[in-house]
Amino acid sequence: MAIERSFIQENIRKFEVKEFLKEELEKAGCGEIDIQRTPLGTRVIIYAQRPGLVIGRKGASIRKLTNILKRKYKIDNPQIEVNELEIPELNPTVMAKNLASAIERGIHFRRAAYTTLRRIMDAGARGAEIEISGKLTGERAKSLKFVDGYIKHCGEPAFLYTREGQAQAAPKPGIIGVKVKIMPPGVKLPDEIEFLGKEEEEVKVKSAKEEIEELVEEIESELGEEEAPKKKIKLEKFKRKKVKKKEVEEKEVEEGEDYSSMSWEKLKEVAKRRGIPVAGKGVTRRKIEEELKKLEEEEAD
Amino acid sequence: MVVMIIEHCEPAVSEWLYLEYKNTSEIWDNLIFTGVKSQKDKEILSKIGRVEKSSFYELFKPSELIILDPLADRELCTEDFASAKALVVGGILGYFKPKGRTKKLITTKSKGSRARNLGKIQLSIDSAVLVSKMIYLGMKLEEIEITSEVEIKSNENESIVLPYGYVVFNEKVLITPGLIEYLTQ
Repeated sequence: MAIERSFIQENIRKFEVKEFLKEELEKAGCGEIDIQRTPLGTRVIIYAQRPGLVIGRKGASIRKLTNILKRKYKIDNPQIEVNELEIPELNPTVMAKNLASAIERGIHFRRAAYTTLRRIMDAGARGAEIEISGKLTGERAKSLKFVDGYIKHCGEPAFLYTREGQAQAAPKPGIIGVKVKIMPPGVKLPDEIEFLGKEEEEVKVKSAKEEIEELVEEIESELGEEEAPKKKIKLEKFKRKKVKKKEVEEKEVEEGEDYSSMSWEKLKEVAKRRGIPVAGKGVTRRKIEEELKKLEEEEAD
Repeated sequence: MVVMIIEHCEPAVSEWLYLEYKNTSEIWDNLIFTGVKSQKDKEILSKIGRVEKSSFYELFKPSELIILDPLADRELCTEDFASAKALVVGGILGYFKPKGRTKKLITTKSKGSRARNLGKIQLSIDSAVLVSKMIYLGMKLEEIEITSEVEIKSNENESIVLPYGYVVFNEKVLITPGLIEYLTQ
């Protein structure tokens, strides 16, 4: 029985510490508090929107908090670690507090709720739900739910993935409760099954020679064994002709290019192939272009 | 028939309250609104029932009354109506969770009268009267199906949750007529 009691006591203390820190660090935009027992002591990790406010000037605030945790809550060797919340929009406690403070400032609850919902969804959340409860329009207490995207409400996925946060607003007509639930981005639910698609075929670009060789093989197989020796000489000629034709075509494509729009490296390569010097005194891009054009004209003649 | 008394405890007759009062007058014929101090409220409520400035405990003896109070120990049953002249319901638009205002504003004012509850769920005024009428006509409280909350969808992203009990009859929730239109307008 004693062991169970000690666990309960430990959790009660954890809860009290969290409540105290949340209240104390409200201005710093405290999102989450994680308390871990280590062999050296107790590590308290605070995730806040403004870590500077948690630390204080020359660490004064953090030192004060450490002393309180040590004396009031009897935590042995507390080590406070402050981390900045990377995306505060995905933290339900921060968003609930922001919404509660907007309601307290007199912004209409519906407008404030939709703004918060849009901010959460714009941050990339899969889904979000905001619940505002209380005497909203001054008569009977009721709750208003604002939902967007996909959110799990029950079962193991809800327990594992849905983050919850709450805050209270205290306007004149009475206290209004704000609950925010967020389904973070990148969550893979157990009912989401992916089917493996067909592997993409590699598109192989065949060269002119390969293409013609294939064609010749096809023709040979069609002619059969008897006719093959007779036609072999003709096929060889056909093969050579085809290869030459294809090479000429490739060359024409290359020649037909506009030298002025060609990159310097490519121009040098073309000039080298044609036997035009690309280095030395007085060799400029314009000169190379002119030489190439001259050569083209001579070939055409 | 037993007189139904609604002790008006709200500072003014709002639209929501008026809709519930109006539905109550249609459910129970012999209806009196008591404790109506304001002249403006008197004018509004006189259209749907008899209005009295004095409170219910000034009009009836405690032994003649049954007070419907969620914090009462015993449930209302048909036999209770045999010796009663009037049934008192609080004209209160409740909080959630209930603050026990019926006990504070009504039950304690008439010592000696019988207090009865209608289950653990907080009912709207007209639902409480409807359940009372069903019991008056011979039904038992266990036989009456009551929802614990009602969710009204206003649009794709928004819904209103009413955390109050409403009677379900023939698989249909009997919500105050005109309330959905009022809430979603």
